[in-house]
Amino acid sequence: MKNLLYKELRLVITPGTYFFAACALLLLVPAYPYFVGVSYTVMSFLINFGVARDNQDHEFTAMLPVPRNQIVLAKHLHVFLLEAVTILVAIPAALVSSLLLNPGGNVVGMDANFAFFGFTLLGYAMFNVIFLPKYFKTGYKVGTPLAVGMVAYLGFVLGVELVVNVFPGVKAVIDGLHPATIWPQLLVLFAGLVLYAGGMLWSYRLSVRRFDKVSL
Amino acid sequence: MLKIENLCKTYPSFQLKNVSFELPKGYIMGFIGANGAGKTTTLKSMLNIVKPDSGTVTIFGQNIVGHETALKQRIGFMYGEADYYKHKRVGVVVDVYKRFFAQWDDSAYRGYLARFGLDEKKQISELSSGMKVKLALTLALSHHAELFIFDEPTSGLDPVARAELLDLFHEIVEDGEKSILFSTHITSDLDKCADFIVFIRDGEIIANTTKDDLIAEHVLVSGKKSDLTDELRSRLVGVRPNAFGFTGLMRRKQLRDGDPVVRETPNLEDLMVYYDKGASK
Repeated sequence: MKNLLYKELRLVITPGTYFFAACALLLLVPAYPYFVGVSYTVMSFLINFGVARDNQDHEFTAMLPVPRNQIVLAKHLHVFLLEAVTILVAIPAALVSSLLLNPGGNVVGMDANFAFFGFTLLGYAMFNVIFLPKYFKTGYKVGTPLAVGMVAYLGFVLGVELVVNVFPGVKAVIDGLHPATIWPQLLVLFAGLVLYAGGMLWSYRLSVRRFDKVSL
Repeated sequence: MLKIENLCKTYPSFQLKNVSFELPKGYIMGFIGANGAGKTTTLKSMLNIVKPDSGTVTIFGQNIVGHETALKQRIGFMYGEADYYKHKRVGVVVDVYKRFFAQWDDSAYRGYLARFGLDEKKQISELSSGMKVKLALTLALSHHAELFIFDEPTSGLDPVARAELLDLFHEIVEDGEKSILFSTHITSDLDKCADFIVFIRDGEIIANTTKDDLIAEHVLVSGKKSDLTDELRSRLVGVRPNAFGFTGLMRRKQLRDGDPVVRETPNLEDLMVYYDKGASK
């Protein structure tokens, strides 16, 4: 697994990808729809998976002494790595934003609180379980799987924003930075973590089954 | 060392039909056939890169399915030129590749770099077609593999480089412990170095024997147009008319003493050409 991750880092992930991940720093902006800040990473997969296809990445991996399912594993590690980097960039940005720059809260969207990260993980999970298995149906078509995954992801985060802003009861608990609402927000974060991990596992298994039928 | 049994794969417009052959230890086997005959599909199916519909591939006594990781450590594989990660430097690609091989030999790798005149600092896109083939071969040769599977290793190489490569193939099998299976449509390469020939046409193996036996089993015949009777034609594998009459390929056992033809020993190219003619007859 270590070598596969190394392969993704050195040969597949384009340097520009880190710029997309760094867009999570938009959480420092006092009034900004923070879900947008963590969305750019999802778009970077269009570039990386396209570059991988154009450079015969699967064919290269198939020559290595690894079983066929490791091609699928490599791409899941790729996606996990970049989403994790985005979250890791977003966490300190959220702390600085909430504690120093904007303690009064975000006026154009959800605050960068625990629930925000939980929903972000849920959005990523939704994107991953659509994008990856759909991509591994062919092993080379990126556009449609990414578009469908992206629509689902954006639909989800827009839905979250809508629900939070339409229902004051939900807003009072889920939005905001007040310590009194920390437990329900932590619950959302926990649900996000569990569903993200479960989604990755499910996506991996389904992708392996689908990719097994693909001839390179 | 390598045993393929009844390998089948069906595509909408092509079918690999019960491909079977065996390569013993210490020999070079040439895998010949026209473009699109099924050579690459067979080689990829052997290594699970293409999923065969049925059939078994046994390497070093173990089925490739279930032992892929361990077996690939002992196989040097290249298909076509190294055309991956075009904008990465050769050294970067090799740095990744070598981490996967327990037996990677850096001094052997440096030796092949020097032998083939490859520059690690160059980007893959800066390499000529022939140099990309040499890079792919370098990767396959640098981890102490025992079985080498090469798809078109001589394509894109100039005659000098091809001759050097064939010498290298002889060096590899010299100790009797390693084997090479390589596909090509440049049959003159096999005339020089192959011990066994597997001949595939339209996804079907039509010959699988030693090179000498394969050639000895056939005879190239030529004669005047008037000598090409329907009866003679029916005994020919394939025939080509020319300004003076005809030339055709015949199985030696089909030859009769009274046939009014000039006889010659065919080469592998003749076999490929006339079998193909026969198919389109």
